[in-house]
Amino acid sequence: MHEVAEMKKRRKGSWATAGLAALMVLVLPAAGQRPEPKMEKVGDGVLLHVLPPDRIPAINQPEFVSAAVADKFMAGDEPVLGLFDGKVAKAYSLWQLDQHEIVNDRLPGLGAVTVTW
Amino acid sequence: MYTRTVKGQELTFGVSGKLYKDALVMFDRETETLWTQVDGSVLRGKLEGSRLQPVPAVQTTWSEWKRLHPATLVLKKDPRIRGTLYTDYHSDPQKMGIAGARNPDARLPGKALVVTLREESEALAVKVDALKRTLLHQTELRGQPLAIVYSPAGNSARVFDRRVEGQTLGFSVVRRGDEVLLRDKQTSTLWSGLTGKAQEGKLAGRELRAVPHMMNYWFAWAAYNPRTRVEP
Repeated sequence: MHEVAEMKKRRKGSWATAGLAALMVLVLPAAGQRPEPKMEKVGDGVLLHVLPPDRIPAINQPEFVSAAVADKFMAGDEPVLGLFDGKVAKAYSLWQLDQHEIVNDRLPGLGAVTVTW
Repeated sequence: MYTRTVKGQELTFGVSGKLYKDALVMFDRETETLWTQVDGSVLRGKLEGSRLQPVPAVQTTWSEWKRLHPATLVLKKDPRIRGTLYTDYHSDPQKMGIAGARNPDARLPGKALVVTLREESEALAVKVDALKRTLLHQTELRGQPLAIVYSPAGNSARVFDRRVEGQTLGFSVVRRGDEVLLRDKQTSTLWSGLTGKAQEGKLAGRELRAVPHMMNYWFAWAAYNPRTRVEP
């Protein structure tokens, strides 16, 4: 419980700092109307209720293009997550995943997979 | 990265809007079970006791991935997305998690990057700073001999099982441009440290098995795995 109290104390004024915070700035209403997130002790950690489910939209019908086409919208130093099942390779831009966090996808050699960021 | 078939049922994951120990919590639409991203375990719900099976994935740059997999498919992207939303977060060594978490374990700085692995109850974190110098770290986890390889060109890591046909290999690094190659002491075969494929020598054509791992900030890994080993 000490941890939760500490968290409450420190949270003041620290919203737009880190992790999902940038997203919350995008999706939550004006600063004054931000709801107090609920905190819950689960196991040895804190479960923080930040946003309603699906406010950050997972990608469920991913569409893919070739590397040549992707070169038009990908920077060379752009970070990606890459999956390779022995035959098929797929890349997911982390700059894009910042805004979706989850892709529900499928690869022939791996079956149904979830790409998470 | 996980498979999303659990006990024969295919699950579809969504973003729960919750964070546990400052990391993403997912839910599945089929049972509304809450899952952690860091270790694929259940926080609560119908599938309690299950664990998602991790899939080997690589975190690298577009140019390195394209060089290794020219036929790759790429998730279609809004061309207006030209950077991360989290520049400040990634560049500030003091910023940990959205609620301002503390580093739970002083063995490393909170924002130190680590290559992380877990096998049953054993967890291992390998310092990326050290990998940048050596490019290769050889270790074991629950009796599984491992090679952890770092590629400067992609600022990326791979983890391979060092066993091939019942033989455990020991490697040394050979640099060749952007390629990080491994030569094994047992057969002198030359392997790609980025794909795990044997390129020249007795074992040419063989492939090292890729082992699931993640690249994490230390504070997040340590919160989930308080008893993790740290190497080197």
